[in-house]
Amino acid sequence: MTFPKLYFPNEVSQVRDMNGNRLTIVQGGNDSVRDSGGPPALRIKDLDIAYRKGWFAPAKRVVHNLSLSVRPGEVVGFLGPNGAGKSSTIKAILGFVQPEAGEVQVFGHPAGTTIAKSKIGYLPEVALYYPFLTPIETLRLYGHLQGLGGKSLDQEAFDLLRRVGLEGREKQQLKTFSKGMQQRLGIAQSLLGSPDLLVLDEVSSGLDPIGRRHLRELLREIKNAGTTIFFSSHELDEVAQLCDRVVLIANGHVVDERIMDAELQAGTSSALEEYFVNTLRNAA
Amino acid sequence: MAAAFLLVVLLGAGGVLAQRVQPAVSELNGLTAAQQERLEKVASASLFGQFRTSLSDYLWLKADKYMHRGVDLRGLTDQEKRTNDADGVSTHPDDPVKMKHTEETTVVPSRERDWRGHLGDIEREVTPYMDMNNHGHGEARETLPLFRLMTWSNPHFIRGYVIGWNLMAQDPKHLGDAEAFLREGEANNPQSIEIQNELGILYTVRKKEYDRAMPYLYQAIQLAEARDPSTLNEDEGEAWKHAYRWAVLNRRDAGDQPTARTLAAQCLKRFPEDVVCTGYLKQYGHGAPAALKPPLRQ
Amino acid sequence: MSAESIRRKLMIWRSLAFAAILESVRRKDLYVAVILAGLMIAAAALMGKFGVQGLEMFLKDVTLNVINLFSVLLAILFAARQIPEELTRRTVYPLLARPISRFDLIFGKFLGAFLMSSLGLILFAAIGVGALACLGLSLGSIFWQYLLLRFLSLALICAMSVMLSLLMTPSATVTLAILLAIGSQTFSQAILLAYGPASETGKGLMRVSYYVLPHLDLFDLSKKVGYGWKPIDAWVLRDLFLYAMAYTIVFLLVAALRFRRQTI
Repeated sequence: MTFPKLYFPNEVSQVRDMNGNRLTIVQGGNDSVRDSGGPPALRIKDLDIAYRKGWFAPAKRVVHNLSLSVRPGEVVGFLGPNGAGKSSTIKAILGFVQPEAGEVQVFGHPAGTTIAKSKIGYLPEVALYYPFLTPIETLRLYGHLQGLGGKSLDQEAFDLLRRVGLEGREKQQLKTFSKGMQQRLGIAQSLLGSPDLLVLDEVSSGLDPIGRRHLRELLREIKNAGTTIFFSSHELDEVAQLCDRVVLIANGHVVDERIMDAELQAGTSSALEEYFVNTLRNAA
Repeated sequence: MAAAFLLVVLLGAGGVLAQRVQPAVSELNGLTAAQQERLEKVASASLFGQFRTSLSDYLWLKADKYMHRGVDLRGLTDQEKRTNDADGVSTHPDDPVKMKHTEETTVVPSRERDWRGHLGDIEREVTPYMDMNNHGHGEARETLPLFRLMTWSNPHFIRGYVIGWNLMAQDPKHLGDAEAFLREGEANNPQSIEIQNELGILYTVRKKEYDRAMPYLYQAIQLAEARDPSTLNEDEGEAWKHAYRWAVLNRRDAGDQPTARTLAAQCLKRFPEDVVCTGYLKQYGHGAPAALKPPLRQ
Repeated sequence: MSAESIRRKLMIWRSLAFAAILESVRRKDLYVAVILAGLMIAAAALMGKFGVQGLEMFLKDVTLNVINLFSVLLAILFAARQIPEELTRRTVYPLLARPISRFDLIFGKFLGAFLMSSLGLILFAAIGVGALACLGLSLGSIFWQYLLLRFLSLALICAMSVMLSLLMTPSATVTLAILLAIGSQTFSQAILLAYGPASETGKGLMRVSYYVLPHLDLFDLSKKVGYGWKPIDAWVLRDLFLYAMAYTIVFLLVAALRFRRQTI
């Protein structure tokens, strides 16, 4: 069995194949992954995150010694059971939490800085937007914060709303939107400004089957355009169809990484599910 | 402030102000004793009563402030009284009889007595502040509508009636209004020593209707003497003494010296150091006193 | 800082402020002003019909107090909810995922609250002046100085409320902000009264607390306006402008320091 060769600058990573053999990742790349020789789209090294409730309460460690790397153009599924630390890791990528230790870089820039954030499109786990604004006003707001403006912003906003299926609802206040419609708007806002790295937390949450299919098609388009995507999801079918690689975490650290080979992709979600359950069981 | 706003709305909505802002008061609007009792037994009315009492007190303070162009005054602290270290506030510093506010000072201190430096300077600029030594008062009649509002909001606010009629009566043209206002106070507070005394003063001093005044002065004296002196407040005690004084002066001016002598002697039994009654007896005390026969009201 | 980065900052702050105002307007927050306007105008019209001889000072006093009270309450309520609502509604995530700093968010929200409460002040002032004009009363040129100082105080109040909202719960923020804003005069008077008999230590503590706490009562010319005093000197306005700016900047910086490393 052959595996695509991956390139991780400045470090050597190891992944496992289907049979559990360790593989050293060496320079190279598949067709869809850019091999620019530049810094990785996302680099997390020895990340520790802990939360404190009150001054004297002991810290609760949710992420421990977590390292991973995502190359430009790669689509990586970030998997793990509930409470594994996925959302906390994603929050660290956006600078929403301050790590206790370790570092997070986005295209070589420290996470949380404006330059790092300018390269990210982010969809939060529970996407909520100002209920009294319309979708177009919402996108204009985020566009302005991104540094966009003028007619090109309006054009892009209308185009994105069409792409996520909100055409005709541009001037309807969000308080009348269903959860699924809000999620579509969230996807639109995350794509605003054509980000280099798309970070999606529970991307298909709240979407109906048609919405999910649209989303998959949309993400595939984005992937084909060369955008790096790093997303967490419990929808393994989605992961199987979109990802180049999956990173599995449990109890705050990476327990395994897997390249989505032809076998896994062909078997769709059931093979991935098997892998997910078995790996977690072994890790436990 | 909110209460004051509510007041404005109430006044506007009720259209009551139409008659009230003018000093012209031509009818009585007092409650009967039964109505008052019923009113006071209802919880909501009791709450409303508290509100109107607070409102009348607020308006009373406002009236005082208007007289001083908004300058805030306060009483002296014990330390300030002892050390005499406070900015003086007086109306006639050279005339001890006319002098007022002797135990007051400005809330905002003068520059010499202020430790706050530049912030104190700024406060003296942004709030109404001036040297209150030898200050004058604003036009008292300008505050009349406030007295009208005070007694309208709280018909038992006796001080409002007492000061209000005096302000009205400063203009002889409005003496009738003043009388009507005070009579309204009497109707609302039939047991008030102060109001009976003031009615006696009104008829004695302003209208020179000596015989008409006497029943009110007698009534004031009788109301006071029917009570335990320890239960009389300061205003009531003063009104009791003044009722004696004015009764003596009334009888003197009416030429009824025997009755005046009796009243003066009776006054001195209650108030042995009273200067008015002592002075009267020095001048007119050489005849026989008369037995008191309180006249009926006209 | 280059012209481009300044332009970008201004765009960010303007957008955040505009969104806050737009949302507030659509939430009908200013309806209270409209209701108030109706009541005041109705009251004024009725009073005007019957005459207000002798009540001029009282009406001016009440009108200015109403303007003060409602504009301060609106400012506190607007400002105190800006950041906590972002956090509870989770709208803060897509906002801070954009290339803006946390200070940008704080400043944009402060700006929105300040502009919104200024709008409220203008509305209340227009209603008040209109109601008084119906009665044939005017407030004189000192009224413009009064308005200017109220705007300055609103900036200070909004910054203080935003800062407090990052340090305590929303209800505690509103309570404390109202106490500081409305109780400022009482606090000053109490300190002045208590200072004389106090011990040296007590005096020292009083001095410190007097100079540290913001004196919002200094921004209130309503009594001078109501009682017909002359306009104040320009140096007072200048010094109060500097005073308000200093406190506003300090409050916003404290808020930014608190929020800078806060987990969201």
